[in-house]
Amino acid sequence: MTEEDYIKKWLTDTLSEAEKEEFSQTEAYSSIQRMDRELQKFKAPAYDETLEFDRLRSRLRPAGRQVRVNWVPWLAGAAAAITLLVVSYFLFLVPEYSSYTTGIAGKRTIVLPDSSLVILAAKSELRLKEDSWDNDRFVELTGEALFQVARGSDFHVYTETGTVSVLGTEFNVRDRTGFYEVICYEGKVAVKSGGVTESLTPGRFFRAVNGDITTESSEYYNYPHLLTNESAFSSVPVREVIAEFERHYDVKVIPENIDLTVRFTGRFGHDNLDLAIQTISVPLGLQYRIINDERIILTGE
Amino acid sequence: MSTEEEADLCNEKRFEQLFNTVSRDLYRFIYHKFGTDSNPADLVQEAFLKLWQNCRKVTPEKARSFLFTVANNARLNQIARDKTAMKYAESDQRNVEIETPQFQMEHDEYSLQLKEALKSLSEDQRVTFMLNRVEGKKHQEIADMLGISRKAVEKRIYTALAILREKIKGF
Repeated sequence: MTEEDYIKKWLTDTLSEAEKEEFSQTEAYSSIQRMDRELQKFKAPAYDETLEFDRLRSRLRPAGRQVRVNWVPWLAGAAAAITLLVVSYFLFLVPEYSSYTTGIAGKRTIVLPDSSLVILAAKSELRLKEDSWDNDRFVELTGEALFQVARGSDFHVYTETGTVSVLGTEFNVRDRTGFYEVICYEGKVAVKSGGVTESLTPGRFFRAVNGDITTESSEYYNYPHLLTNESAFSSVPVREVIAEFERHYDVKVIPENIDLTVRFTGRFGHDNLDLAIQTISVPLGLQYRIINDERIILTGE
Repeated sequence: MSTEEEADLCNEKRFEQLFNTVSRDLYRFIYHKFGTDSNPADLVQEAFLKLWQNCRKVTPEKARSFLFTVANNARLNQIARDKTAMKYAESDQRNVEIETPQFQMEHDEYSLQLKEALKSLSEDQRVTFMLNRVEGKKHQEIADMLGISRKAVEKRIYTALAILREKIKGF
């Protein structure tokens, strides 16, 4: 038997007593023993089920109250039928929306019922109907989010400015005041906005700035910026870049002598204010002054 | 009738029971696969919440694999893949006898080397290997968790071990 055979058999506990004895004398055995001992340091930290379940319990309520039909024999049948009617009225006629929101500098990951994933950017809201999800996959979005959609039926993202429809893919939607943009990273995405329908392939984006529609591709949009905690812009009006900066750093940026329609191309990170403001101001030839925690002045020539 | 209703996962008692039997395994699975940065305890909560919302559609037999699938898909949550590296767990030094500085140093070097080697494993290799060697899970248990065959589990463990041994050869 080779050393490899010994180890394989030892791992599956299929060595005979004699073989075990022999193996325990080897160099390989003692080095594995040492490793096993050392590996214990990497044990997962302690986990308390009771504590964790208590933490979860408070979030269980809403679903727990759903359809609780008591199948008491026939006398109660009529009552049950009425209960059912009332329940289905609430289930099917009154839309039961779940809502997820983020504040300034916030970001959260949402797992949808079909295990599609959404990363919601700062100052945004996502609404969906979990009950009818199987028949109709759609979400309503205010702000920005990255979507990684599991394969399946049509998936729609509705925002005030447009509709994005896909089958299964990865894309980013931002809908901020006067600025709507859809970036496709994977698969194929259909966008409908302002009477225009466009089909996007990976690397391309759709944009409507105050009703002005363009479809282009940009190397700045070749990977999802929300995954790397950045905001990426490909020739976006400074006005929108500043607004985005404010959403991440909870400061007010006061522009002085700046043409807010000038286009900016680049990225800024979400974890270093100084670096981020430099990334914006230097390429545009602007000066900045940090007044305090709440105010930054950005000036032109 | 009532027995059937109790078997339903929408029953809170039944759900809690499931939580008590599965959550720790799920937690360890996430920890070894994605590392501490993934907030394993939170991901466990999210997975169970998802199950609760689908409690009428998921049968109790399918619940376990549902939970692991949801947690596994949450990998996007891992902002950058290289952050996956597990945080180096500080060992409890209180039980360790006093060692000579030379030995101590070698030991630390060995730990570091091992940590680097663990990072170099694929997520699947690492989670399989660690669940077995460190958390003491049986091959069949791991196979059930990951939804793969027992043979595949054995193969992964051996491969992981071979890689680790190769990487820390000098010691």
